[in-house]
Amino acid sequence: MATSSEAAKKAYAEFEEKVKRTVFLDNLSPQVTVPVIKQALGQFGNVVNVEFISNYTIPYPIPQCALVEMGDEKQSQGVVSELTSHPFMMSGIPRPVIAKIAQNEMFADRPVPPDRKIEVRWVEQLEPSDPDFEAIRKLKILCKKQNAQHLALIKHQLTAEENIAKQQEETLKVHFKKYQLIESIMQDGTGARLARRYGLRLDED
Amino acid sequence: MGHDLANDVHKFRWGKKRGVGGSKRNIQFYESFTIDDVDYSLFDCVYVDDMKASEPYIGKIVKIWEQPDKKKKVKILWFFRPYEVQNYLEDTPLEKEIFLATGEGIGLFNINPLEAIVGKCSVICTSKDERNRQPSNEELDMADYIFFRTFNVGSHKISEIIDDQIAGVAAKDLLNQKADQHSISKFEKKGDSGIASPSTDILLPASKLNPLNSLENRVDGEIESLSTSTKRHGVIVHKSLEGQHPLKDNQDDKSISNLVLVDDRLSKKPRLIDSPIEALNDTILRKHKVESNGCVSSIHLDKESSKVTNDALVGHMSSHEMKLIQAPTTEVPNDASSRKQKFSGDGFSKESSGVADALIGNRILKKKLIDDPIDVLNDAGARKQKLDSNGDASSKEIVRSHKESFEKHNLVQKKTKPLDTSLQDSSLLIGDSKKNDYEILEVTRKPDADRSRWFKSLPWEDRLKKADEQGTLVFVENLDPTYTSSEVEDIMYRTFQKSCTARVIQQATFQNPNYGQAYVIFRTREAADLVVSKINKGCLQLSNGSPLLCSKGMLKVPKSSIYGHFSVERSKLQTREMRMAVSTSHCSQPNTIEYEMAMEWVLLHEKSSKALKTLHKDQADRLREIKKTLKTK
Repeated sequence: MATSSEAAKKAYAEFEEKVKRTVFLDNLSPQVTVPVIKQALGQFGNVVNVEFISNYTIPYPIPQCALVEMGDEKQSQGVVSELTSHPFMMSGIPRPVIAKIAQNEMFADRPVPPDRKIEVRWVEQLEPSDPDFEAIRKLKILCKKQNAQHLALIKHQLTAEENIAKQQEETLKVHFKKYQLIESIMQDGTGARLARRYGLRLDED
Repeated sequence: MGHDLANDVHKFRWGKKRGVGGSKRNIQFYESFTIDDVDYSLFDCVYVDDMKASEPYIGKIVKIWEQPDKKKKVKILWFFRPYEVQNYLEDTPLEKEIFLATGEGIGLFNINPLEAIVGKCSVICTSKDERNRQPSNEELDMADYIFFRTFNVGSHKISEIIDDQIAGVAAKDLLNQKADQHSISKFEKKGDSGIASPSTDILLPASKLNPLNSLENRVDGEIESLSTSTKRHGVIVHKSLEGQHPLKDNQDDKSISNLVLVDDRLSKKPRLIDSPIEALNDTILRKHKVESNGCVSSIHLDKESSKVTNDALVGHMSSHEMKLIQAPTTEVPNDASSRKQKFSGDGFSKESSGVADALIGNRILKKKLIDDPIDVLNDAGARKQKLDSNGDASSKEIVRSHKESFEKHNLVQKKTKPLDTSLQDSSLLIGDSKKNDYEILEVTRKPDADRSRWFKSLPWEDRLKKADEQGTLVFVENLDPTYTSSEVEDIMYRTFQKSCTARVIQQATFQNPNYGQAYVIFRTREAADLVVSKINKGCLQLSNGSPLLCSKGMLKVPKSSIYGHFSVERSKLQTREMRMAVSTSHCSQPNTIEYEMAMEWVLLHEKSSKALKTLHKDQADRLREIKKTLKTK
């Protein structure tokens, strides 16, 4: 008995250590794969394990996210501070990757915290006469409502992302056109002619 | 199958040998075998999975052998699920009903590699056939499946008549085994695992050994006579237990009994009685460990029974008695699980059928006691319910024991644990009783949680999809977000006695941190439907006050994608540097347009996470407010 609880404590402590050396990466492109992450974060330390978190519940196309276990806590902190102080690109620009220290709840296979007891109360048929009938009904509705609110906010945010993406794409296109224009006039000699007319020397730029 | 290596991973051991056969007499037949501490023996019902079918097949083991090339084989007589024979079915099958294969033709039986067995299954025969022992209600409740009709694989007819022989197996082996038979087999097992038997061995007349050596060739008459006499004692014990004199009852028993068995039965008796106290009291438990290791003498008996009286005096006699009465089925495994772990390994070889013999009476006595546990108890609803479930647990064990005659620790332990918990629970309820009328279940570890599985499980993603197709997938919401996957499994097991595989939804950026969610895969569609309807109709409230919500099936989720990554055509990319920038990972430099755009994203991200955080905080406040109004805590 004592040994099993000790073992559980030990396992949990180990797990908490693992959490500390794990980095949570968000806003990853769907093209990012395990080798990409290994290579990208390999410069900050030893990448032990990469696990993508699949989206099972959010009914919108959201970016990929992953848990990356580093060699030790120092490395994972290094990754996080590096990636937050500089925008870090991974398989796509210009949206940077977000890095945070992982949390317990991010692991699906986390062990049970030691000495925790769960109690469930089973009310077979909920009668209006039950003192908690109203509250329980409200809680059920609230759960659904809040989840809906939550999803609505996410949707709103995704729309905002889409907008900013469009806007940036537009800007990029304009920039690109500008570059193309400059390049073309340089190539067909127009640039040189203009320079001569205005008495400028091009190669000084 | 691809599980040939399974032997390396899984603990496997043959049980009793049965004989040799084959043209060169080089095939060894067995009566039982053990995988991962689960015993399988002849005529056990099992799940067989070929990894292709949506649900595992159900069959009965009718032959076990090892070929000269060391391949282990089992001959399995099949059961059909209703949907498999629906074309020939004229009425709606009962809930849990399956059909025994009969006749001659393809589909009657198969010879499978032993490794194809994935688990045990309890199938009860409800046929009115006179050869069939009629099952008790508890047995029926706990059975995974029932059958009373057969499906003829040759003529494709469904019939209620059970042939004398099916696939070369006598009908009596296919029907419910006789109570006394299973009691023997059960105790053959218990005898060697729970009780240190050598001393008992010697005490027993050698003549007793023979009829019991084989599970098959029992002398029914002898058993019958034993059982009648012991039943009588059972009643006496029963009565005197009611009369709150466990000690006296032992003595009574002793004086009345005039059978060869007396001593042995008595030696079991104290264990029978003190087990609830074991459950309640650790110190005593430890002491008993010592005592019961030897052959329990009548001195022990007295000692122990006085303990019983002491403890039983607490005030709620009836409920304690209930425990006493229910305990019998479990106390041996209790012992076994708590300290005999190492014995389990070599138990079979030292098996003493004599002990088993001696125990028949005991067993029947127990059976008798358990058959109507609820009658004894007339107590408050809550407690009664508790004990009800208690009774269930024990009767479940009986059901199992019919099937799993050589059942071993792990499984026994599995059945005992719920009892332990509920025992503790009920004592707790007695203590500060009637705070509310609800049944509060403490969720303890699901007993088989640590049991390694025969098959390597598929990736979760595939399992989800498969389960979704089969209708065994349930999405559970409103969990405490800190609950772990195994705790969700435990909750389901504790509440519905259905085993399942659960996996919580990982809390990434877009999950609502106030609510935990999980996918749960049940074994059967029926179990999933039952759980969903029960949870949604009633209310399963967690300790944090949240009522669970659930729904069938998988949520539709689109593929992941990301805004803000521009696929600029390669040819358009100006420089080599820029090409590299897209394809590799890097930090962007502050003097580029990329950096500026990245900053816009960082800003947006900050804004978004702030907004989410605010929303969740508001939501948590609302939640707390409503939870405050809960009357019961």
